[in-house]
Amino acid sequence: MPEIYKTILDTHPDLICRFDPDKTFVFANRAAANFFRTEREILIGSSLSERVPPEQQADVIGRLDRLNEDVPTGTSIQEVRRENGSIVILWTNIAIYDSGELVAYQSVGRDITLQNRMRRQLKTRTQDLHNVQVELRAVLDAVPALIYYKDDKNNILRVNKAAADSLNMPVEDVEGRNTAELFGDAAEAYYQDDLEVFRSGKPLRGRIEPYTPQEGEQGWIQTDKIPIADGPDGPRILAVATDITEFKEQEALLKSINKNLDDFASLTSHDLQAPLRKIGISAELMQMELAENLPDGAQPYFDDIAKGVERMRTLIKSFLKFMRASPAGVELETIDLTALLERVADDESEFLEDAGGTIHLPDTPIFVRGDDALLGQVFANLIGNAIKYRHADRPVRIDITAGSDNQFWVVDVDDNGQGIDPNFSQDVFDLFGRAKPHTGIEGSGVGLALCRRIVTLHGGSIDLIPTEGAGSRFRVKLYRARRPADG
Amino acid sequence: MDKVLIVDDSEFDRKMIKKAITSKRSDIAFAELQTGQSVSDIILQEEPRLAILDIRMPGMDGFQVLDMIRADPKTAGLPVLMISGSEQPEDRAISTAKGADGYYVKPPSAAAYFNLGREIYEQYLCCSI
Repeated sequence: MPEIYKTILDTHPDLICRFDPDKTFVFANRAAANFFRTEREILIGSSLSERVPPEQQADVIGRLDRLNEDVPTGTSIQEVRRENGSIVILWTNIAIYDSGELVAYQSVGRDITLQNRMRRQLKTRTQDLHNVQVELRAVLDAVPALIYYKDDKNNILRVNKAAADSLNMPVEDVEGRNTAELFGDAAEAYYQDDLEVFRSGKPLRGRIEPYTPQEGEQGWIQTDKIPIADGPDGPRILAVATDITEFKEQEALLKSINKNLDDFASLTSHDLQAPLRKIGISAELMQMELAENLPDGAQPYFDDIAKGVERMRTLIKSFLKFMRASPAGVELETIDLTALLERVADDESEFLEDAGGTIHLPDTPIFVRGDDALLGQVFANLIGNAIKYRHADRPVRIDITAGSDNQFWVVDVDDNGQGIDPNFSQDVFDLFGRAKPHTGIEGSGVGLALCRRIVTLHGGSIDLIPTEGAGSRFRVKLYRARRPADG
Repeated sequence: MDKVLIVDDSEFDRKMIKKAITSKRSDIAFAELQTGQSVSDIILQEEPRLAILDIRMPGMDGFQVLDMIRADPKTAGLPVLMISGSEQPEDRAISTAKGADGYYVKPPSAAAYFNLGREIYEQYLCCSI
């Protein structure tokens, strides 16, 4: 062998060996000697079987033995454990024949440890990527919002299942289509929004727009559009749309109901105010006409009429305010409930005296959040009921007590009246619901329903509490208010 | 004789408006309508100095009656006051927008009615033409 070729072979990084037909080394380059971990002088002349670990001999020797004149070449991969880890060699074996006779084997081994490791890593990563894609797809498909991932040409690159379902199409049929093909005229408006987002680089949030799929009924969607930083294939946009058709329909219905309620409230207010004004003004005119001729003792009646008219007017205004305002929008004031109870008790005192009854009020300062006239109505109803439904055999006794925690004042109104059958304890708060027929006792079945509505609008509660003794206990819970500063 | 036209479905309020105005000026005559259907004819026939229209009336409401008066060149120049049974925040704005000369809430007491009568008298009826 010319010296020049020998040098090339010697310094070649591949493992180059040549064997006799009996697999004795007749040549090995430096890389091969290193691989077999011996000197070349020792390697040459030794048998291949001595250099291969016992567990690999059958495989390595067998591969050479299987070569023949018809199939003189073959490849094999050999993995060898070393101190620093395994190395992997790709062997290319050639059986050399001369005039039909095997004269030598030539093997070239290439260290593919690095490629092999990279291939494995690539495989693992590809699998991981696949898993991530599957998971991501599952996550996107689980999101009820409609998700579109688009390019700057209005093409849909990815969609989730909800988006595809909204078009009555499989995901794979939507992906790759242009928005114009799927949304017709509406697509242009979507595209203009996209371009604005691309231009500004800022997300567009909460865009509400009509939505007309190719098939199906028109609806409404609320969309967020988020620009995705430029990638190698150009800018992208993520559009996340929520179908708010139902919400819009409910909103329209609610608006219509509110409008009706508002109209109803206005009409009711007008219709109630008119006779009230007539009563008040007529009484006033009568008093003016009679002037000095007013009979002795008549003046208090006129005062009562004026007082009643004024109270009714205040109530109408309060109800109107509550009917028009949402509970959250009602502006509640700090109410001195102790003073309110005294006033209500005073208003009812005449009826209480007629019934030979007594009332006991709390003397601790109680401040709650509320509307004075409406809360007055609640306690007037409770006290009025206690008097109205008193027990025939004993004088009325009403005890109002109060306790508080950090959040609420709890006011109990106890009476010793007829009591309420536990079977009807919830019915009493229903509109037109009454505990049981009270022959001869006037009642509309509105009072306690009104109490509950008022207290509920205050964020509180009113309940009938079972008691051991006779009579009833109504428990009213109202939000505490800070005691107003003096002065 | 100066005349005031009152269009109001409430007989009581018509009576009170008349009482309140005549308490300041007794020589005023009144034309009364329960609805606004024939308001143009009445205006042409009675030639009032002032019209007072209730806003909430069954059928044609006060704003529609006002529209009719303003739409007809023969009646468009008549001073018109709108009056309502209950305070509605939007009513005042609508009244102004439609060209009413004033907006009042029906007074809650007799004394307040007489005050309203005085105000109407001072602004629109204080001297004979």
